[in-house]
Amino acid sequence: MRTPILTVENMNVSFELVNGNYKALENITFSVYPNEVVGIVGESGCGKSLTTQAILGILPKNAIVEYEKMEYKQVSLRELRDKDWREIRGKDISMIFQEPMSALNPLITVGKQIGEVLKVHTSYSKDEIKKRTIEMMKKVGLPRAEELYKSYPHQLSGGMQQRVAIAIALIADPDLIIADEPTTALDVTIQAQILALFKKIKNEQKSSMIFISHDWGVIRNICDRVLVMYAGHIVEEGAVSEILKNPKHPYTKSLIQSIPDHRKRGMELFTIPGKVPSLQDRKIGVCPFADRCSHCFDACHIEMPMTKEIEGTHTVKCHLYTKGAGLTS
Amino acid sequence: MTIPIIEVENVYKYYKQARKSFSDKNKYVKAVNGVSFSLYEGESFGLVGESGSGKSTLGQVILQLINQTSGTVKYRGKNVSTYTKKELKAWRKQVQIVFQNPYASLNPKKTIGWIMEEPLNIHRIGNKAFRRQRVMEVLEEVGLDHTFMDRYPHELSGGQRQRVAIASAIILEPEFMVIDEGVSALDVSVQAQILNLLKRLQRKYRLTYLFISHDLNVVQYFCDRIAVMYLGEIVEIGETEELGRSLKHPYTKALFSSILSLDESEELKLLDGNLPSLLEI
Repeated sequence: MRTPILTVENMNVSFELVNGNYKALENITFSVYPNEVVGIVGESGCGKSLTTQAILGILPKNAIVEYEKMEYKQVSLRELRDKDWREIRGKDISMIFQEPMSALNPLITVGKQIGEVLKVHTSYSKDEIKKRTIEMMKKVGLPRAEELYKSYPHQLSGGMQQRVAIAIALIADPDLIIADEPTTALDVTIQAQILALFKKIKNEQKSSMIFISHDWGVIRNICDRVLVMYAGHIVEEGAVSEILKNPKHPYTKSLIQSIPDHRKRGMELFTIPGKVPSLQDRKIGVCPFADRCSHCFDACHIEMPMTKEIEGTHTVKCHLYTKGAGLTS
Repeated sequence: MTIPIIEVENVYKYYKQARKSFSDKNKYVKAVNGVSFSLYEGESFGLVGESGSGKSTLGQVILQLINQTSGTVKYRGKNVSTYTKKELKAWRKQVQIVFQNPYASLNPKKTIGWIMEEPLNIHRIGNKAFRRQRVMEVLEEVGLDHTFMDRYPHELSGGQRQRVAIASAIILEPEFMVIDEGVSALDVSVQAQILNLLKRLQRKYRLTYLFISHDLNVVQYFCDRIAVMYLGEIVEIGETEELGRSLKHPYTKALFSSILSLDESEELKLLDGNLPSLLEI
């Protein structure tokens, strides 16, 4: 058995608001293994980004994080002090955000921004840093790296800005890269290039990744395993190909069915009635999807389903598989 | 053969670039560079291409929200540039647009009821009671109940806002609608709801859609015909099924091969480089 690089067990996150405490994430349990890409998929407001922010400890002050275990390479993350955190962020674990324009500093040249990571984490000389920065820029596919070194973020296109953000995330050779919708804001052709770049990084640097997306096409293309999140819960987990072929949870099934493509022309698209409940409207202790589910029965409104193993790593949290007959159609 | 509802003939839209010094030559950004096509009643026409290919500019030229440098746009056989002020206002009732970002296209200081009533006020339709009644009808039509009338845009989710934007576009019962990336900002589950809504409205009102999008999966699902734009020109145009089967232009091929398929057998192909700047061509 391989040892995971990141382990999260029973993580709960709640927010302290004026009118009480609200649970945003419940019983989040998952692991990331070396050289593995784990996808997190779900609608907006399901807690995808929140999960990764809780791991990195970058949540706002009114968030309360509880957990049984949260370890990165056998080091418990939550016991770290701010100083130790600074050692880890950027060097061991790095993050790439959705909007490259708001992630980059508009007043600093891109070369400096990429090199800054090395300045903070290593004792390289100025020349060495510049040399490595330019090497990295070439590696992520930025053309004319020497020239671009001195340019500002606004002078670059969206795709190139995202490459700069990726270069920043990669230059210190991290073991875990967290990418939060890194291709959502890009054109399809650029998206294909960036995904190819991520694959190359995975193969060459042997890094692990957590890849957040709401696009099943992206998930299918880059991820080994996927977590499906709904209203703060992981409702299904398993190998990407397995889940796409054989989704078990009614939510996963609905999500996949609502993707438009040319084969569905002329047909009504499948839709999920209702919307993701807001933090205040969530029901505690019952299946979070029950109100929108067409297969829901008595048990769904009474208790929270247990995690049921389907086969191998494929697990699902749904009463249909513990108390019911399963999902047939 | 049916008469086209919109005819675009040789439309150019150039933007003059600021000169850095007096001795510089004038430079132009050729946003739309000689485009011609026709739209027929009741069809959904897809306009695809990467950012900066001129899709939105073309859509806005057709609605005369910006004026073309040269070329003509005809609506039911009549050149829209020759409309008098009065005719133009009457025509504006027939054509509508839905924008990408429902967060930016609704006035945050006004209630949904006010926003939706505005087009009726501008065109002086009915009395107050009638207008209120009409707003409620249309809200119901797009799947929202009358309680939304007193709410403000910030109280609504993205999908609900897009429904409001669609509702205020159809309140005047237009014949032709430009949907400029109208579903791009939405989650797939919400996107499916909005696409179904648009299809239903199309059947009911015999609407013609110009559907601008960079999402080829959505366009191939939604549209009867597709035009592919690249650097201000239409490089390929055809029936959706035909286009999907036999792609001619190398750019279209490259664009369609970067669609992320859920099929495992299909490998991703890459198009190298970025879109060149429009100043460089």
